[in-house]
Amino acid sequence: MAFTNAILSTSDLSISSINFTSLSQAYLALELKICASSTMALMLVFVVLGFESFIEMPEGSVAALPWAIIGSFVLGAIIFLYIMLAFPKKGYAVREHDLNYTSGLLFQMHVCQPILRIQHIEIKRGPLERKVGLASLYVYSAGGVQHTFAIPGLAYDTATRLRSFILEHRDLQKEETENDRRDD
Amino acid sequence: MIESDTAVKTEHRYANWTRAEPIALAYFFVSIVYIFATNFLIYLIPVVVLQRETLTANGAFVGVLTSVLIVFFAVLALIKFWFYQFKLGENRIEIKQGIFKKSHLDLPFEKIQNVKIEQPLYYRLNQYAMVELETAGSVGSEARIVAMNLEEAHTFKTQVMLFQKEAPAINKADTQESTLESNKEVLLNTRTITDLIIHGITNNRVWIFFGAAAPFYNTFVDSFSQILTIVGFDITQYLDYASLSLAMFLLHVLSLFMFTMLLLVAFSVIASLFVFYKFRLSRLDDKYIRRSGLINKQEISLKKSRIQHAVQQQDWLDIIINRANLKLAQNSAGLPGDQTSLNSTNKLVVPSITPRQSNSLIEDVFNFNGINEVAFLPVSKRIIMRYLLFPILPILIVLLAIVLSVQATLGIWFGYITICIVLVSLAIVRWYRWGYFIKGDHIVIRKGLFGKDIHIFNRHKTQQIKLAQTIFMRKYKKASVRFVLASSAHLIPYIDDQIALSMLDETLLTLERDKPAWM
Repeated sequence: MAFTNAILSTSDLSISSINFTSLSQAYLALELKICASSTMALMLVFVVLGFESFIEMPEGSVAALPWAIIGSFVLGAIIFLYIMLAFPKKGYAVREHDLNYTSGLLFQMHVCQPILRIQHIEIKRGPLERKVGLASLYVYSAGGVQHTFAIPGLAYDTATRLRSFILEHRDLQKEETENDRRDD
Repeated sequence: MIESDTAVKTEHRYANWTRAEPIALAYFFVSIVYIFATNFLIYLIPVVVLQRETLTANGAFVGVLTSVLIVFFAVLALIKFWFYQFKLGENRIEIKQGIFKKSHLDLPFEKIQNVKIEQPLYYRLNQYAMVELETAGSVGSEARIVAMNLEEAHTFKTQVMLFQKEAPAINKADTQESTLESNKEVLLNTRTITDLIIHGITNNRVWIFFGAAAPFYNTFVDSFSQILTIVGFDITQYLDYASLSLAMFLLHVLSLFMFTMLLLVAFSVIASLFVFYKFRLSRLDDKYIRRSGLINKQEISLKKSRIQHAVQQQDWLDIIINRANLKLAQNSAGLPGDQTSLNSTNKLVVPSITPRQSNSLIEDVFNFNGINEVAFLPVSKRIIMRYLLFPILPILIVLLAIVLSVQATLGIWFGYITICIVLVSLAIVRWYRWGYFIKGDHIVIRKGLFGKDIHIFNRHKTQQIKLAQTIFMRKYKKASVRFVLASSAHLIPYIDDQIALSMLDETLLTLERDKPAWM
């Protein structure tokens, strides 16, 4: 089989010329909602602690409660802002022979996973993700669990389409027929 | 091929479901006792220490309890032995075991990555061996033939290895090599006792010793101070520094320190001798085989194509006496057990060799000439800045806060400034150690602080590549590349982002176009 990638010029082959697809807007909304509601829950805990009289509070901690409420609000706001700003930096791209994921506002990371080296794929959906129709794609190579390639915040049908694209990729098909070292 | 008498006999003998040799009873017994001791008994040590009087008073009860336990373990071992059966087919091994949780393992030979023959002490009397089978994806599954005649074990191993050779070669380089099959084992390296003593001194192998002795720490410390008291050395009086001048006190601390170090080094040397005694590294066709061990003899073999990276490690003492440890690492993902252990089969360690020997071994494994004469390219000096920002700056701020909170004398300030200077120079040394070198398929990375590690790998074995850049790095057009291999990840930090990018693109190109195998 001819290698079709060869006819492209080298600048097109470079990962620097990749146009990334951004993650689903629903993912941004979900993350922001989680951040806002957990901040609110934390603040509520402090408020309740200030007004209830069931639990004996340690000396001086009541005076610190307003600060704790303000602190958790500020922290929540910072995280909220960070999620908003970091979201446009996240993106994925699927090329003929590899998967790419980029992320990071201050610390930018580009991970490139050649399809040839993929061991297996998993689609994971938490209860909240299921509710808004999202899914995360996990791609495992022999590089180990700590180097799992993951794309979060995909629409569920995008994730399944990606999975079948990878599974039907000829690099993986070839390995199957060679039947050399699969362990499952 | 497998035409020797023993091989035929072996096949015949284990063709049906067979129980292991009776010596396996000893194995099961020891393993049960070991599990009991490590999971249960060690937690009783504090109780024993605190309730020593009560225990000695009820000596009879303790004795009866111990014998009941021993009988119980023996019966358990017998049952385990009874339920353990295995069967050797022409191209597969099957193992059935378990009392309540039964398991049936069916393992085709071509999936076996490694065959490890082990001889615990109690097997050596009658020349028996334990055969451990390792597969790429076996997480925690026990694939081992618990007892086999040593000779049969070796025949079995040859049989499995031969089978692997028949499997279709997947690497171009491999095919070329296997046409030159010689079936002759070539000796590559041996280590003398002197080498091992050097290894024990330069490398802290104490933890092997202490790891094994962990359950006995308290007893050890107790009896140690007892011995000292007997020889007329009262440690509390010795350390009663209120009655001593500062100089005397420091002298005592120093001598105690030296004494401890001496003791540690002695233990380390012993441990080194235990593990590496009669070390032989040889090559049989495309396999590297390491044999060593004083009490537990070990044989580890590693297929050349499965070696992912090699690292030549030198700590400062090694650099002074011009020695190095060489580690050949293979796929470690999904392998069970302690990955750092010297005995783990995913690494093959050649202890305390000279750089010249290291050169020739690396040339043999990687086809790379002169690993110790490589002209490394430096990484950007900006990395020093990065080390200064983290972790050095936070440390200095915390220290400064402490200095300010006490009534700081001139001496304390002097000390603080000294620490500043030391930390900054450490950052500079760290930068100085970083170096990388790329030639064709090979990537060589040097790093370290006091010591020096040189890593080498073929980039076609890359599993995944990561490119990282902070906003500060982007300003100066620097980036870090990380090559993830099946054995571990290798970082080249703070290089020009164009170089990083082309390195990455080239690697991807060869990987995706030529589709080279990594195992």
